[in-house]
Amino acid sequence: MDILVLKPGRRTLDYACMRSGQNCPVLSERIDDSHVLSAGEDALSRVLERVQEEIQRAGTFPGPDAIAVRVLFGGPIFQGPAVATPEVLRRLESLIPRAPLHLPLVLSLVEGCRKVFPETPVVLVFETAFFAQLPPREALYGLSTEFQKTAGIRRYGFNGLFHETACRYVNRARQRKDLGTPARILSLCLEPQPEVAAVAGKRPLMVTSGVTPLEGIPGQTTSGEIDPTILLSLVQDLGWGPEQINALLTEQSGLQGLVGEPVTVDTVLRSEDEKHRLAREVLQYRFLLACGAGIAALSGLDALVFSGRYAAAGEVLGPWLLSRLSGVAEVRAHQVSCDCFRESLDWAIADIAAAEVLPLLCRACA
Amino acid sequence: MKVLVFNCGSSSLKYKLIALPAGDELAGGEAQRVGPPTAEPARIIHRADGEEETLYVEMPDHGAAFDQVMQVLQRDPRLAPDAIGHRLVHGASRFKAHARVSEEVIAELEAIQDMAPLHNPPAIALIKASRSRYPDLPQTVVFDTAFHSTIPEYAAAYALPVELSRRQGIRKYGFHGTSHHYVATEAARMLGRPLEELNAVSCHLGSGGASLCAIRHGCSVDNTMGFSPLQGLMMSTRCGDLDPAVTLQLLARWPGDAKAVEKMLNKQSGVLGMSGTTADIRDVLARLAEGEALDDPMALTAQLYLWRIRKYLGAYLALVGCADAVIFTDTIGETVPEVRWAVCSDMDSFGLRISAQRNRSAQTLPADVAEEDSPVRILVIQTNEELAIARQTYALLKAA
Repeated sequence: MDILVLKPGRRTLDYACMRSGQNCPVLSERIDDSHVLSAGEDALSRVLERVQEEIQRAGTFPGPDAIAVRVLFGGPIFQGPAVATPEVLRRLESLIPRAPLHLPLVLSLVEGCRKVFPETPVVLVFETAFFAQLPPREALYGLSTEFQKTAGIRRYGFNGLFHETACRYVNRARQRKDLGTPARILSLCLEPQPEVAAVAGKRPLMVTSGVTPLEGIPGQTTSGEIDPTILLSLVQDLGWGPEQINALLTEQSGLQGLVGEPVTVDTVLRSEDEKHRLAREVLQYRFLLACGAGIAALSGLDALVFSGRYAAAGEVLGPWLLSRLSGVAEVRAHQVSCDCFRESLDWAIADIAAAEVLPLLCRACA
Repeated sequence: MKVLVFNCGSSSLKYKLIALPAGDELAGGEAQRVGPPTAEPARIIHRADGEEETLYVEMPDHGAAFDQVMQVLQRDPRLAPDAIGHRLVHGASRFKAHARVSEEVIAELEAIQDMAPLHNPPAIALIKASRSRYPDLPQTVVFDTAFHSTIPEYAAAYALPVELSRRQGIRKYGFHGTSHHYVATEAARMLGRPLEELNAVSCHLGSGGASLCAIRHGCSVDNTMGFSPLQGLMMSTRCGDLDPAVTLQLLARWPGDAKAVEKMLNKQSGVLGMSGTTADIRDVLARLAEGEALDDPMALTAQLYLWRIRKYLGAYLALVGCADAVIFTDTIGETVPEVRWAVCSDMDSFGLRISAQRNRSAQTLPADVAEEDSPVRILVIQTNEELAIARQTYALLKAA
């Protein structure tokens, strides 16, 4: 099956033509034209026409059989992928207030797909879906339950696609070896904003990020979790407003704040340079605490799996974590597997979309 | 040595007179409604020789409260203190250890007043009053934060620009240090080993504030509270850990009014905010349902309260490595077996096996509620912050 994967970003549109069974895209490109991308449906249609031209020119991708659109936010409504029917699009529209920059772009993109690829089903694939059923004791905060409900305050999780496919990989591997299921998995997604999830089989019980990716593990420029009083002291002592504090926490903090210059998660985890030492120690430490919390959530541990852009850094982080977790029975008994799931996000999206759309295509052919 | 320990609240003054080195309490009490007049009159509730009495006296500030307390004590010559120990919540980075009071120390305390605006200023007023009335009486300051001065840099740092953190004194300070230190000492004693050989996780679960402390070689290496007591567990009126985006959302709702946001997160959230009815976790635990509670705020509150303690316990057990003990202390930790049970069950991976029977019947403290074969002991120890402060005072003055 040939899937055209579309990943709309703030100022970019990434696309990749994925063929079932192949790890690398047949064709992929980043379209970097913020002017065009925000200008509405017509402009997006033109962008998609360009994609179509590229595909035809390359000649190796007769499809697509389906288009998969990666959606960053599906709220609590979308618990899995969804074919873009009018009803689905209406429900997505209702979530716009929660993601006012991203969702209108997604909707325009879907509309553009309908014009340029009229016969091709469009599947929406949500980063938050994997976590939609997070137990309330994990998803909620120590605030009024009423307030949380009306304001949509709960943990959403932001790398569900990576976690889902990485955990599926672990479960399959264990099945082949006749090991017990459901597996107790710590899934560490090594992205610029890292995220750790504790997964029992297929069911996440804990995730480090919150209402936004700002909570949890420090990122390349993001602070991660922080005492709320610190924000209040910036207002009271320095007279900062919310926008300024937001810029600090999202663009100037994290590893960059600790090192003093831009740096990646991968570099920090692998570096033996003194200038990265504090950042590396802080990052490793926060991962360790998250793993300990996850093991308590799961009541044990069977597997560590790394995914994301920097999955390979799991080669260094994995052994470090296991050495520090030697107080845990399963770790001491060498019963915990440690893998780097290196498939790309495009592969994961195509995989999930293909499964969703297969019944549709079969029905169409029958 | 008879040490008089003072523990200042924003409108109260608790005191205990303790004989060292034995540790016996000779007298104690609380001055209530200190400050501007309220609906009820200010009074001192005083205990000595097994008797309790209430004295109605005017106490417009903590200096006046101090005078009144000293007058009460001086009625009996056996109750004259040899030294005074003052509890201070926040020592910031300046006070990594407890200190003997001097002009210099008072000046430094005034410089860091804003770190704990509700707690430190009354205590400082008290210190100045007691020093001017009794200049020859040795006095010490004992900080809630001092035990945590051994938290390593990578654990105390927030992932913010280094320069900003340095300038603003932004780092994890940790609190309940006196209590965590005290119960760690008691735990070491119970296990028959020196404090320097103790690895433990201490759970100070009060009816108000609560925090966990990771202890390695008898020293604090992390605490769930951070820059302020607001971080960490969900508490009776505090939210605990919260996505910074939510704090920003609240700041946008009340522009420029950080105090309103602070009040909401510190005084109107937590068990009170979530349950909507009570600030007391014991009331809520009575309503805990098995399995998933979808719509009942009380059940949700209980689940979230327990879950967050459990996760931090796992995190700190992982960090400590090979723990000798998990310690439960303060009001909830000492008297609510359901909390210990919920938090310690199914923790075999960490070597924790809690005994249902011992846990239920742990009335006389200290108690060990772990199964016989549990590698990690589960100790329930009564905290005694005043005794801890008295001991610290005694040690400080003896060393001088």
